[in-house]
Amino acid sequence: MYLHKSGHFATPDGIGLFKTAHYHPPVEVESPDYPLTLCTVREVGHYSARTMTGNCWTLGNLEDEPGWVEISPEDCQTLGLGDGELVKVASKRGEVISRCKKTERVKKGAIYMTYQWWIGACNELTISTLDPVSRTPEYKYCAAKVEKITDQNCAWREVARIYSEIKSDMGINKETRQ
Amino acid sequence: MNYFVKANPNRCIGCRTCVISCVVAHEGRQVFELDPDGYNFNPRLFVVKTAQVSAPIHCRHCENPACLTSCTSGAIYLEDHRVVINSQKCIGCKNCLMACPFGAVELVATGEIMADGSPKRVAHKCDLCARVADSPCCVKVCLTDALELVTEDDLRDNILEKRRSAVASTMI
Repeated sequence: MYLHKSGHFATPDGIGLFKTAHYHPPVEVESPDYPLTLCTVREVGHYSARTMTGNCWTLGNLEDEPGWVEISPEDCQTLGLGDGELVKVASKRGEVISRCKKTERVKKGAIYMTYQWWIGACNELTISTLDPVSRTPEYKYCAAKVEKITDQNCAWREVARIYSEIKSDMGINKETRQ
Repeated sequence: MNYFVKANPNRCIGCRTCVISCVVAHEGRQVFELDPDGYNFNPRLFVVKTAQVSAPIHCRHCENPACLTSCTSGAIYLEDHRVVINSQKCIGCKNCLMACPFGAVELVATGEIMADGSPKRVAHKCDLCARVADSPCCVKVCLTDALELVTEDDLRDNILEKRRSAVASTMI
């Protein structure tokens, strides 16, 4: 059974049906504990969960773990964050370490994370709600917070530890790949 | 006149292929097959993204370079339509980084270790791929044709055409 084989839809008259769905607001909105809106996005250069593009070492030179969380200059100022600083990003589901990218490309109150990182894994934070009609996961909107990490050296050591643990679990051994 | 690479921010999609090509060209080795720790990843151009646009920042190869004027070790000079840094002479004083109005100069580690045990760090910037390629690699690889080498002839043609169209529109 095909949805539209050779341009013919699986309907009585062979013509596709367009339907509209009513708008419903985001399931999880901002709160005093989680005041920011998290949206997950893509990044040029890496594809999906990076299982393939993560193998390109040169791409690793451009971007590497733990990835970035894009934050507006206004929110950076409020939270006392500098560009490139490791931060803790949390939602009701969990928390991850990422790096603060201070950018005017993001408006105040919103944060963006790209979803290919293993340490700064934004889908640890997203909700599992599905759209009632299309069944699309609501990965583009949930409430989150960003916390400053005072001991940056300790945080970087933790990032290195998690990274080597993940690599070891995945059977990645740099020496054998040369 | 010195030449320079001009970026069109309206065409640039921020993919950074130009950045990779710069490293590949200057490293002169098959960097895609090398351990990332086994070579210097020191691009000479820097992609900047603002709310509206993105574009790489290159050395403008100024006619009266502030970097050259500020250089304390005679490491910066003019050669064959370019502003060049001699990394052997550079002492890493960072004057040029502060003097450059575009932020086109970066301090990078060369991988060498000095006699006192400190890692050698020098000023680094676009050299228009001198002795590396026939023309700037970033221009060749740009997927959206956002980069262009501007020579004296190009600039003259550009100005003459603008003068012509300015007069033409005034006549109408």
